[in-house]
Amino acid sequence: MYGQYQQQFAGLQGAQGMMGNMGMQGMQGMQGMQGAQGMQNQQQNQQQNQQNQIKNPQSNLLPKVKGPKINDRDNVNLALAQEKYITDSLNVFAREASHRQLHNDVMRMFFETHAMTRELFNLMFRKGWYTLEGEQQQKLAQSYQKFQGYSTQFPYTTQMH
Amino acid sequence: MYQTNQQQAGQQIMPEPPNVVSTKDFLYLTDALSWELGAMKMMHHAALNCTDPEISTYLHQAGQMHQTHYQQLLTHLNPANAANM
Repeated sequence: MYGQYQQQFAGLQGAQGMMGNMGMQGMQGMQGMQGAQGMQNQQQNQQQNQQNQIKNPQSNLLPKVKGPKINDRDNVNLALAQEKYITDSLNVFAREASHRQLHNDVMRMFFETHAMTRELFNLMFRKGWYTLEGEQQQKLAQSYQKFQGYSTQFPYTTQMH
Repeated sequence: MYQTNQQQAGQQIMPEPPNVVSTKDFLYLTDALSWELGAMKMMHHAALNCTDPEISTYLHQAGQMHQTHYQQLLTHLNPANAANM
């Protein structure tokens, strides 16, 4: 049963290699495999951090032997760094601007630059150049309880969830 | 002393700053123009040096955005623009 899924997964990856990178499919294939393992293994997966990795297969855009020459990933990385720098700078500009029209104009550029930063980040994720790791559910639950407990310190009366 | 007080009393209170480029605005504007110019050139250069057409498209889009922002910032410096007076 498991072997079948593994074969399917391998097939999927192979097809992707030929077609180039097709967005999120690689990741879904990976998750599909995890799903096939069933609920029994879920706890085991959580203990093994590597199983929690969220990533796409690496695109084959990078040279096999990396040298001093700037490659595609370097280019997007530099572009991303540039956008990050500009969002930081525009943030200060928008805050310090005197009249409303200037403030509004800079705020619009600020939002647009953030949106572009996000696009570049998503692009890098699609190309398999960013790996995320899902935090263990247990840790989330622990912190949720802890901070939920601090609600006794709230200065306003609210409906408890 | 009394006179100046009277003058101030006669003046209308401005609810928010008028459309005037302040000294500080001016310095930020010239700074921001440099950021945008540098960014558009950098994006354009990077786009030309990419092998992947998808990446190239995205970088060109980013470059064009910075060029648009440059032009929008420039209107705030234009003396012909009545709002800047």
